[in-house]
Amino acid sequence: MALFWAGVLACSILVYVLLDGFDLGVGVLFGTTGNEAYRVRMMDTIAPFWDGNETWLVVIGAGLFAAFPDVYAVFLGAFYFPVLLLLFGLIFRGIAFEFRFRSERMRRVWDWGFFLGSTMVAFVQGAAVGAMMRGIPVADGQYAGGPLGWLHPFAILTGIGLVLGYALLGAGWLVLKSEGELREWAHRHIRWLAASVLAVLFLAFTVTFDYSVLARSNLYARPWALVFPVIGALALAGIVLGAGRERDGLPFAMTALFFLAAFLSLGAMFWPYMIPYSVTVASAAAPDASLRFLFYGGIVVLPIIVAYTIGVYWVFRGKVDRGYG
Amino acid sequence: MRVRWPHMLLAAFLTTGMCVAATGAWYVLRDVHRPEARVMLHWGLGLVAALIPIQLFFGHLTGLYVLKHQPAKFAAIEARWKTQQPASEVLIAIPDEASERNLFAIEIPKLGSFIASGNWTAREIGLETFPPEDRPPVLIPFFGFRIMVGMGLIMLAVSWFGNLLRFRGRLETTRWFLWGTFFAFPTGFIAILTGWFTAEVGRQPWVVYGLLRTEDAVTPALTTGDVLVSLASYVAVYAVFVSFGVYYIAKLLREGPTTEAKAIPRATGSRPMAFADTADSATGGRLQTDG
Repeated sequence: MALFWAGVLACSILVYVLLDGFDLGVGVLFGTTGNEAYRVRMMDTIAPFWDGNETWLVVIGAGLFAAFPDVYAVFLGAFYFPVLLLLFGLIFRGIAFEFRFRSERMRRVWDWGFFLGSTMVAFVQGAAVGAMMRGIPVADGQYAGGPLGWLHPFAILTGIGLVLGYALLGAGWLVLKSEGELREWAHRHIRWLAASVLAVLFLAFTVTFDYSVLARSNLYARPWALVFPVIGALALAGIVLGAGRERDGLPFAMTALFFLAAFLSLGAMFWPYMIPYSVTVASAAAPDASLRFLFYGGIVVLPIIVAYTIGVYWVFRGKVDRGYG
Repeated sequence: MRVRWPHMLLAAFLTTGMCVAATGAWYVLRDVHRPEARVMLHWGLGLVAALIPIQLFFGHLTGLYVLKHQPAKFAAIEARWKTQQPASEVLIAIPDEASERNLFAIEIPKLGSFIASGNWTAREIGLETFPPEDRPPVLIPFFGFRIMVGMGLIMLAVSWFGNLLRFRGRLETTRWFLWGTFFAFPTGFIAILTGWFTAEVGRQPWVVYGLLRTEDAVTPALTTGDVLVSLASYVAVYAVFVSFGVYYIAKLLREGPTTEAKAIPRATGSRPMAFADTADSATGGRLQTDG
């Protein structure tokens, strides 16, 4: 049962990263252009999806709370202020969708909120992953550090890495969903974004391999897992070398493949730890009776979420520009 | 959950109904958007009139649920310090927590027993039954509950009187009543908030009733300073975006339904409804040249 819920959460995290990743990434790219026509079009490409994508964040939070309460407690204790920033980021980028079209004088403010909010959310998520890879102090199943314990150069590095990674996903999404100038514009960004993501992730991987005894011994014990970072690096290198100029879906698909590979690499390095070095899947799981009770809720609710997620992507498929009647 | 969930669901419908009716009344008073205003006013008041008795019934069931599972909360709501048989119902008073009694109380004998137990002679327990450390604060649940019920009674009065006027064909000409309906727009919000205060303050000192105290549930690593900073930031952020949200909603309501009616035919394909109504002003009419 614990394994089932760990699997559900792992899938949810992956789906969340891929889905909210691209709309956050579009938010990051939004700040790099002042062109109002581009901006409206960029908003259009993600408007039907972004809030549905964030459902998966709720699934992750609720799933952790219910199935792995110890992880939930340690995580929120350790990342109290980052989670606060995450929520503020989500609030400001969320209201931008509604407010920017209703305002004239204040539009610049909501646009900044959209860009900074999206960037903040991406950075904080990356930094949290980095801080956990470094290890956070835990005693008696509780976080035992200070409020800024997460702020470490390595966490900042992974934070920047995820901002770039989401921006890359966002650029791939724009290529997939738009036509003409905006598509060309997104294409121009993809190459340098992919190169910098590759550089940052290579650095982060090397540092972790050097620093973390756990990650190193896990990789020695599971040498087959090295295939994941290799696939990830190849996917990015493919984008840098210009793959996907012809097929619009390719940059997004390759970036998604890269995220999948990075996620599996992390899993290979740290499994069975949920909070590396201190909390494992087995030790954090809620009592079996709770997990079984949750199971019945989960098998009803999760398929519904999956179904409407697929539904909305099907309804709003294709290039955004062709939708105007 | 079987009583509190419908109680909350009905509260949401009632809040919406009052807002729709109030907006309709406002349009009628300004003599604009008459066809839409008529529909909003009639259906808004009709919805509230139909739902409010059901809501009062579910509110009563919720009270019985609280009495059964959270008796200290019930005693605090009733400001019943001493166990009484038969118990009186305190209509209004100023509960004095220090001396454990009510000042300036207006009470109805025996009614407290009837409300809680359905007969006029039952014994109802007071706060004295609980050790001081297990008692909730009294002032907030006491007044929160009374304000919530008061809002419900205002909704009842407005909606039923409004429907009476409607049957007599005078709803849209009775201006004082339209003003009353307009100013009744926040009743639902106030009722929801005060009801929430009643429920959450009344459950103290427990976060899981009878099992886990709030003070034991606090994250150990969290300092008072952390909480202060985060709470202040939440208040600041919410104040900013709620103020602007209210401002934009007011602007939308002032403009009325006409722009939406024109824009909705284009709300197809990849442009969701939320954007359709303002597509013109947002893009300076650019969309038309696109399509």
